[in-house]
Amino acid sequence: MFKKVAFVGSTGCGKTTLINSLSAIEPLNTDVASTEDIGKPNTTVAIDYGQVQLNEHLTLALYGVPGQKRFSFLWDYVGDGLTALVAMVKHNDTQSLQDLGEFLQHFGLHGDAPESMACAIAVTHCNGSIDAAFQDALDDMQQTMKLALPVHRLAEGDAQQGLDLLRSLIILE
Amino acid sequence: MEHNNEQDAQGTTPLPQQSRTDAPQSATGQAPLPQPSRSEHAESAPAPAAPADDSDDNVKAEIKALFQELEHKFTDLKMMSVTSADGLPIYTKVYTEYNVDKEKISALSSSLSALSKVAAKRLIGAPLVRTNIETDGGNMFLISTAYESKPCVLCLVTGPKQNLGHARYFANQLAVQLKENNRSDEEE
Repeated sequence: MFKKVAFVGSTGCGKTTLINSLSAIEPLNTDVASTEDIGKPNTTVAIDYGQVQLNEHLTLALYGVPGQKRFSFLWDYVGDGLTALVAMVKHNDTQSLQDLGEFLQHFGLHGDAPESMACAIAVTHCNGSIDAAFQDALDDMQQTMKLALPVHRLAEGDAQQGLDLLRSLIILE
Repeated sequence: MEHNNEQDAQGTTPLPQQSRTDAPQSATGQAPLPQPSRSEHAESAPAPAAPADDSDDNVKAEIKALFQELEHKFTDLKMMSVTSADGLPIYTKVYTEYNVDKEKISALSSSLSALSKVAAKRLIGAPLVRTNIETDGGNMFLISTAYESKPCVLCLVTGPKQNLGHARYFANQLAVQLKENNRSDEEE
């Protein structure tokens, strides 16, 4: 059985790296050179795609989408038929946190919406534990949005942490 | 990367340079197509009362000039744009009453071009030349090229009256000229 999981979050939060590390097949990437200063040379302009087999009965199709709002038509495309969503945010990055709220809203994840899919927040670019101030900001955002999503710390490109996160999402689903 | 983009812009078979009055060889291999005059173009694609030039203040004059040089050769042209490879608008010109959000067309051009490149490489094993989207209401042509030595995507949208091979030929020619225009600028 195939289930569809999407990775969303601001530019540079590690979506492509995570999908590349998780995928059991050669991942499909659509990176091009960035003309904006985004802290890295390349950026995804269409989708990242990979697959990972969780067990003999279940394969997850992994979709990553660009973080820039101008590509929101791809968010809609990927959002159709989702089993789970991994909403990624860069540690101690105010803009990334604001983007996270917009992504959750876009995918219909707020307290007033009917429960549609499993979702977890993944904090990336974090050496050690999540700073208390950032955790508070995350908690405030979740409270405002009437959400209680699990928050995971995720090292960039750590396939094992990524797999653990995916397994937890499938259990939640 | 630069080399590949050059291949993309020029296609697998280099197109001959031609003057405005040259009759093109159809990209479909058919007999040369008649050239529409400016008045024919005006009849088939009437311009709105206000100019539909959607350029920014920092409009690239070279692109504008190239567009102006070729636009009269299309019988049913709706839109031409040049977009950075990562989906930011560089220059957009909208003809007729065609309603388009230039930010959206730029992002779409970038996404479609990137996906097409992956599909061409993975499924055909050859570099992408061009992406064509054909509908009953018109066609869209996307060609990877370069502007100021940076990879970009040329996008043309034509209406249903436009001959497909004709449009494809001039779209290719425009992509080549866009890239060669950079080269001549650099040489100067």
